[in-house]
Amino acid sequence: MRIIFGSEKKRIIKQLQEQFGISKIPHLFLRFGKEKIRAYSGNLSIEELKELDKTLRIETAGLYFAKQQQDGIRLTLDGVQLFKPQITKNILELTGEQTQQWLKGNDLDIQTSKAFKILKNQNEFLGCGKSTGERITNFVPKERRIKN
Amino acid sequence: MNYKPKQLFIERMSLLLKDRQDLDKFFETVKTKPRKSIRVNTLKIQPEELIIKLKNKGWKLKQPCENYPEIIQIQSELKPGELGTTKEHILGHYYVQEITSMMPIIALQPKPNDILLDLCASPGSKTTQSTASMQNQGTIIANDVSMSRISILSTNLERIGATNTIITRHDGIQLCNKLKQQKFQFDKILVDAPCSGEGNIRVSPRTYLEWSEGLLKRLSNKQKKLASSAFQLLKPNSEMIYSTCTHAPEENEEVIQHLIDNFNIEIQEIKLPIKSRPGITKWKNKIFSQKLKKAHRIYPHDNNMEGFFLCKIKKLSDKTITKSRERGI
Repeated sequence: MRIIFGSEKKRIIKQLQEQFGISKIPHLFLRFGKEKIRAYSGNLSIEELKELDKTLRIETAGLYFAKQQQDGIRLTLDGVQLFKPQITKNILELTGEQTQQWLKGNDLDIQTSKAFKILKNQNEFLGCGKSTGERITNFVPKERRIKN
Repeated sequence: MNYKPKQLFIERMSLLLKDRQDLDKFFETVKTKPRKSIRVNTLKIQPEELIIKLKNKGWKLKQPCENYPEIIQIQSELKPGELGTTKEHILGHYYVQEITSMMPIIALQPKPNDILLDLCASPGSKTTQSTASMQNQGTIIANDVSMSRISILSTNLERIGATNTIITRHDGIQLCNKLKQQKFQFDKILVDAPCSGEGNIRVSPRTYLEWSEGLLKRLSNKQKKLASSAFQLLKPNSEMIYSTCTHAPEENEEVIQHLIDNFNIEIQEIKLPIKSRPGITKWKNKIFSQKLKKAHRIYPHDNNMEGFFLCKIKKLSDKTITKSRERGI
């Protein structure tokens, strides 16, 4: 577990603002592994967290909300849910049929600009996909998909 | 396969349920499957909003517990696996959980700024319920011992959107020792101990095969160690829930008696929204404190749910009792 401080956290938030319009994240950012960023909202101080990390086998803390990739930040399905009130950019509205396909884990044949897209159906935010221009790549975790 | 109770199990249950009709009702009920139930994840959606969405699927729903609108029983017959594959489930709007298993957190009432230890947390039913009760504030240390169970716990916590949890992987007693060395203390503790599962026979009838008095004895020893280790981590005047999904007094009242004998504690009254019975004060040749009457036994036929045991214990001081004190009988 590594705590993400100051300028590194600011850079991540700036990128989230540019990509999705998310600008206010009061959570403490934690990094597990190279790319996964987690948001912790608990009341333990940084010193207490570090002390626990020294003594205990901590598997995870907080919510895995984003993955830092070379081509940008990809929000997880749960990251989209957590920050949905703030998301204003790169939203792609799906039809009912496309929603079903998406939740089954299928890619969607939709032509749109190349970027990470937030998928939405009516009031429901359904996660984040990557548009290649011709297709939206699906990232719904396998264990969360609707089985055929 | 049709699993049947061992004769010794029947004899033990007849000591717990002395009335013949009561005993017959128990064995009739455990042959049937319980109704499915869910808990609305109030971190993401309010009960009335989810109810509209689920009713639109044609589901018949009931809110059986007054004052707890988040508890919903599914009255319709669903397809196998249907509850776990809806859009609402994928998005974390509800958690599939047996109603009796919701009782420990209803009794513990974790608050937003609490620091809570969930010692045997996987698969996460009660951890996710605590997170909702704490409105994703405070901190929960959710522990389990095996990697495969941690993986399920982690998936469930992500799905409901928990941001206030820390997942650790340790043997429960080892974790408590480490935290004790660090002088780390908790406002609330849940010990939902691994048990023989006599209360879960309706969904896991295989329990009959694995059941033996030897198993109860081994589990009882482990549960006493878990409960004692965890209890020492409570701040004075703070509370712990000890619970199991079994009826065996060795795994329930005997464990609480062990705490009474060794620590300065008070057994607390709790009010539950379902039918329960008082804990027992005598089992075979063992006499337990009268205070055990404040513990709760829930039998499957009492509510047409699963069986459970829970007891709320308050730590009065850090003082330990070196000699077994006289029991209040």
